[in-house]
Amino acid sequence: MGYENLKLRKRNFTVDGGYFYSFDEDSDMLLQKTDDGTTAFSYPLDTVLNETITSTEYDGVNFWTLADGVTDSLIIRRWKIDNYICKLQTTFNLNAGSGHKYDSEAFSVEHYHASISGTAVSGTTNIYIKDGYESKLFSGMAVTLGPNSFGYSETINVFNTGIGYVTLEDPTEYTYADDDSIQFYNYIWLFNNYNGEDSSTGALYKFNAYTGSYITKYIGGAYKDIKAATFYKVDSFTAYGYIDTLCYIKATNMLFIDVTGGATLSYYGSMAMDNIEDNEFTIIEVYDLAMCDQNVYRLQLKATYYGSTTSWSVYNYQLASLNSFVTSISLSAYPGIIAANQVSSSDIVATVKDQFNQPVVARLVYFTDDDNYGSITGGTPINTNSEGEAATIYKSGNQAREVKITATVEQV
Amino acid sequence: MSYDNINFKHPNMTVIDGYFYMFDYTSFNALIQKVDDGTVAFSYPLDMNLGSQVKSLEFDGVYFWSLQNGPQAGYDLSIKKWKIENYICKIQEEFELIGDISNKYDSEAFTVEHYSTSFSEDTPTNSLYIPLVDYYDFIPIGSKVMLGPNSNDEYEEVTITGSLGGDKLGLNFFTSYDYEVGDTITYTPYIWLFNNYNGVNTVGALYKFDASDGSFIGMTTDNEYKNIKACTFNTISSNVNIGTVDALLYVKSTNLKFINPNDLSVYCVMTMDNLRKNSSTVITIYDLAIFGNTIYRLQHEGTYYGTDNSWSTYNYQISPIRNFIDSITIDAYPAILPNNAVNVSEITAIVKDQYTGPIYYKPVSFTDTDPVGFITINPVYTWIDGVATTYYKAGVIVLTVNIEAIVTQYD
Repeated sequence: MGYENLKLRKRNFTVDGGYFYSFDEDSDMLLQKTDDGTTAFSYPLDTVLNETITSTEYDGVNFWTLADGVTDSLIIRRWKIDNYICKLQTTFNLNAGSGHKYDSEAFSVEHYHASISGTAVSGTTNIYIKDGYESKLFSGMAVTLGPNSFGYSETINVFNTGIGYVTLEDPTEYTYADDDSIQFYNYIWLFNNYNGEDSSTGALYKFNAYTGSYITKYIGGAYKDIKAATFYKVDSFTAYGYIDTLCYIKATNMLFIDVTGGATLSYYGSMAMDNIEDNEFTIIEVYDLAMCDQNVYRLQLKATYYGSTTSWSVYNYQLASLNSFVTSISLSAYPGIIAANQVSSSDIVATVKDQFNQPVVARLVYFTDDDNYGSITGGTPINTNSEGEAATIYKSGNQAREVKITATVEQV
Repeated sequence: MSYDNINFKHPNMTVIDGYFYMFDYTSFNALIQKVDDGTVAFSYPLDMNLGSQVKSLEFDGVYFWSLQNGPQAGYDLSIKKWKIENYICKIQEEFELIGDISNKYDSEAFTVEHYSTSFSEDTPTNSLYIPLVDYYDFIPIGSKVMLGPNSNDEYEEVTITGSLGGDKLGLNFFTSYDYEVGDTITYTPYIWLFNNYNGVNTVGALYKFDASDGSFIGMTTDNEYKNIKACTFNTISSNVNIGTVDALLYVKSTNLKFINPNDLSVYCVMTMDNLRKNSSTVITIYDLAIFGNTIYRLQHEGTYYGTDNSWSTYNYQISPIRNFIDSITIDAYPAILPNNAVNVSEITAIVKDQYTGPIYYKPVSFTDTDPVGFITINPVYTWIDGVATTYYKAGVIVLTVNIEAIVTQYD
């Protein structure tokens, strides 16, 4: 079983509406694939690509690509499908100089999918927005309204904003109903392997997504050697509810950045993943990242399924979930060594956690042992408590040996 | 059965609440958290590049501490202090031990002397003192202690100004957070380093540094401290022979030595089973950690039930701290008896624990191979000297009688 799915030749992808998109610089196409690898459609590019695309992002309207430029430089492009052609809209050349060098394989575009509040009739310039998203907008940005119930949408520049609304430079051509979509992007975030010109640590760079101008950078080793990032609305952290967050993969964890920070950035959380080979220590590279619904799609050349690592000659996705899922069970024995006299016993504690390192409560843990004479005497199954712990007792057998006790918990 | 468990890629380890931690300087550049079957439970990216192998990892209850080579391996060392904050493992301080004309630094083992106690009373914010369950008469004036975490996962560092009597210690400033009974207080006064140099000479030495600023305090020269690869510091409470003590532990050959940090006297020595089946080749222990009165020894190979197992990764093998039966020896007096069904021989079994101390009140069962002769008292519990005595009454056949003693423990 090869577990192949997309069979992409290139190391970039994004997902929208169940379709997977990848820029192919060999054919100068934007390929649309279904998840069995079938090419559903392709959009010729109106501009020839001379560089390898290292990452692709989609903001709901535009595709964005990252590619290497000349030495220590990068190229970020914005594309839009228009009349069956993928047309280049903007190119930002991030050139070495002015105290910066650029070396990156991961970027994303901060973008928002908000909702219109009330009805916006054709010809209006004032659009009311729900949930305070107008605070993310500023003059000169563009918002995409719709599609409305007739399938129409339009993009209009922002003149200014007020509390709960945005004023457009031009009146709308169509009428929009309550809860129709209003989408926009504002910043580009780039995981640079240079902090300025210093390669000993990394930095997260922030650019204006309309002008490509540098805004600021956040220094940290945690931002170095990043290969996969995206921006997405997530509701996996109960303390925060829905959050718009910049997500990136470092080692075996995906981290969720709060981009609203000022001088420093904090994290909403972190999520463990299974991008480890079956030797339990070799990391599997994740080349690009995309999310749809509660699914995380990781573009990889290898994957470990059920304890066995599979290698591919093409890029495929492996899934992770944003829903809380049992990820680890730690098993401890106190004491760890007991006499084999069929009397001595050891307290066994299983700690169950999800991928966000949070305890998993009220789940039945089943304990088994491989000792023909020893036995679990403290009961099984046992429910996890508020700390994610389930405890039982093992009574020893009569043979000196290593006894393997296994705890199994089922995801409900 | 290969007995591998955590499958660590690098020879550094600490254990916290049943989870195993390792610094990975390679592509991970992260602090890795594993469960004991080797599954990665979580990882914490580092906010700076490690750049080189971490040779030893310690945890003091709040901070992780790492030991690495400095700019010149075998000459310089780097000790770094880390803390997990907001899902990132962040560097707090780095102490560089740079070799010079007076000192060279070459080490693979270090630890931090630390003491963990708790609030004896609820203590509101803006307090100018802290009430401690333990160590209130031990922490010197001017020391820094870490309060927390409290129920909001908040910490703060405070400086002790003196005793206010009883269990209360005064502070130099008001506390910033509320604390409840049982919230943790951690005091980490010193770093101990097993250096393969005493100054610039190649006799070993145990160096002592101030953990708050990395400044050198002193060293004790002894070849005993040379070529040490594993050590740790912990409160030891389950060895009945020494009671509850705070001890510096280090591995020397097949012995684990428990040292009093105040005068470097030896509390006790534990015999371990880090020997290949040939009984002569010592298995290297790369790092050491304690959790739940169990010692976790990080090794590249392990001998289980008379079979050597070598691994491509680092895994732990455990040793108990509580007194556990380790050996039994048997003696007979007289050893030769006439086969007259009358004479008796006193049979003595001596039972010792892993500290080579006598082990008290353990049942010893004696058996013999004589179809007529017999053991008169069975089983016999060991006395405080670890001795269990019984008698064998001779049979009627001339033969070599094998007497076997089996001891067990129920605790």
